[in-house]
Amino acid sequence: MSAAIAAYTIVQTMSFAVHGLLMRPREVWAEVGGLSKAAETTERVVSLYLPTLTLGRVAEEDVEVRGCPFSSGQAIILDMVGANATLRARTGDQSAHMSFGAGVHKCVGEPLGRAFLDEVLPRLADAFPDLAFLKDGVEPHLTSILQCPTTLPCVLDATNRRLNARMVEIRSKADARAIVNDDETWMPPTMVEHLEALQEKSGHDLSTAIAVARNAPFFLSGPRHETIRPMVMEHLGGNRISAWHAHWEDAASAASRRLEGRAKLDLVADFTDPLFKAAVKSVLGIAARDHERFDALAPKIQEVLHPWLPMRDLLRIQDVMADLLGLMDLPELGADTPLRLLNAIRSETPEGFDERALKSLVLVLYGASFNVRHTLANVLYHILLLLPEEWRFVRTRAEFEKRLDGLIAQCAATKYIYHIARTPVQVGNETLEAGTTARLQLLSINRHEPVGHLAFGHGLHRCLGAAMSRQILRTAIPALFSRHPDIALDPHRHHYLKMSQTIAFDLLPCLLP
Amino acid sequence: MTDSPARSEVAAFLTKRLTEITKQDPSMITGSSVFVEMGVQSIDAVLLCGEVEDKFGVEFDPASIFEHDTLDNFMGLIDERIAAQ
Ligand code: HEM
Ligand code: HEM
Repeated sequence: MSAAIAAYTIVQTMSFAVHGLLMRPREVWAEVGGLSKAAETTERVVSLYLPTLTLGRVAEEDVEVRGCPFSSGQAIILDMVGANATLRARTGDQSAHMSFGAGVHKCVGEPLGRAFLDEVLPRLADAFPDLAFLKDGVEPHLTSILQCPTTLPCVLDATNRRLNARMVEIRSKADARAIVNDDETWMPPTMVEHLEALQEKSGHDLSTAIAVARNAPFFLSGPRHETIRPMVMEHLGGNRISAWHAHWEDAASAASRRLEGRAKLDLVADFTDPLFKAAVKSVLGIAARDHERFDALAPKIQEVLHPWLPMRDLLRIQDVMADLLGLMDLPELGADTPLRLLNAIRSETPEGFDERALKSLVLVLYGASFNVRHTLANVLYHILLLLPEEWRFVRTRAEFEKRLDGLIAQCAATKYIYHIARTPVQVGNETLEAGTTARLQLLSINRHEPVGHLAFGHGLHRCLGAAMSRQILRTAIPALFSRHPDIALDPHRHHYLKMSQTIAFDLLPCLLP
Repeated sequence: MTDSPARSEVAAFLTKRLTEITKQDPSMITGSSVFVEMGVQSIDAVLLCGEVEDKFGVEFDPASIFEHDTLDNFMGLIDERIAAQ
């Protein structure tokens, strides 16, 4: 019985290792494949992904361990994870470990454990090279002596899949790129028309939701989209947006400074969230009558409108939108440097846009901006999972900037892009009817080499906040790590929000030594 | 095996509404009718789902209609929801 429990360590090691390996780029998973390197991989995995946190020992006689006296019968707790890290650092050998224990109670299953990992990991990696881990579906298990995930939901391959009679999921990067590049065949979800028809048939007043959808670029095509895009791009595009650089530097260093003196912190509540608000609100020109209430309500509009939203959810989101629009003031005009977006577009209001339309547009942009907060947290988590020697690159600006795009590709919060077929169309070897929704599954698509990734989409509907997001990430991440070079995860205490469209933490606990 | 009354009520209601929505002859809508072939759209799904919730207190996601190709198939989901109440 106890041997069976001990043997279960294999399963825990295996799942913890697969989790760790799949959190990394696809190349890392590819390297696990091939039986010839199996023994090497196993040692490294057993060193890095040990589920056993601590071992207990009772001193049999009075002893001294590293100058620390223990009397007979006294219990000692050995930090196994720490011991492996120390061994790796001391020997310079990335596979050094004492994961099977030592001495007379050393693991008797060591050969079996090794043999199992040798056989299973490479075969898994060879059989499923495109295995991709749905990160926010993980259920971590943590006790004082054990860490490991108990669920690891994954997609097995990168081939397209029919989800239902009206929707296909696109996982092939080539097909996805073809779709976002072809505006003749594909269009964004026609949310305005959907809401208007729904209003008429259901008798519910959906006017606020319709007004917001009419100013949401991701639901528009044609002339209104052609008016909004350049209007926003002129101010949020790469050139103009750099004017906000100093503002972001200040926001990032203020947010990092606030962590000083804290032993425990939550990177979401204490860093990414305040930084996000400080960094984005002024750029967009959001001046709320009551910022506290605005901030409490705003996260609720992240749940984007989509044609499958049940009526009750739709009505709830619409209420929140109405409240938020009511709370939004027009920012004061005047000495406005850099120019805030809402003020900028107010002074050049195109035909067909009244004050409420402009406010709706800015509110939609703010809703979409939450992606930068979530992506920031996802990137920080990704970096903190690396070994200390691996994330040195963050401290060198040039080195970090070279890697940033790859990090965004891997950690972007957005799960899907939706496009609707205007006409019957061939995708891969399937013909889709007009009206079919293609759901581009970004996790699998972006797991391929970062060149040409779709983290910000592409083409006519490419993300309008991409330049701003990149600059905020570029400032915030080095600011945090240069002020707190020893920050570490409080392992497995993180928690994801359950959001259907977004990978986002609501808790990311860390420790500062 | 006898159906629970709630189930047959829901089934009758869905059939009636589908006839109205798709403007088909009632005799054309059977358990093996395929939603997509009937011409059911996402907006119809949202409406139906709201109505079933209001009338019977059974909640389901509009998209789930299209995850079941036929009415009979879909009633399986409704059964589960009723049983869970
Ligand atoms: C990768 C997989 C495994 C790891 C990392 C692992 C790790 C460990 C560790 C750290 C100990 C405590 C050693 C100490 O107190 O010094 C232990 C003990 C033990 N393990 Fe494993 N183990 C693994 C697989 C297995 C398997 C497959 C079996 C059974 C066939 C097994 C059977 C045992 C037993 C019976 C003990 C108690 C030994 C004693 O107290 O004398 N282990 N293992
Ligand atoms: C790292 C953070 C962000 C990520 C990962 C992200 C991701 C995306 C993606 C994938 C799309 C493409 C959707 C499509 O093709 O249908 C998109 C579009 C969009 N994003 Fe972002 N976004 C981020 C930040 C922002 C910010 C800060 C804003 C606010 C200005 C924003 C505003 C928009 C808008 C308005 C569109 C629609 C553009 C159009 O349809 O013309 N995003 N975003």
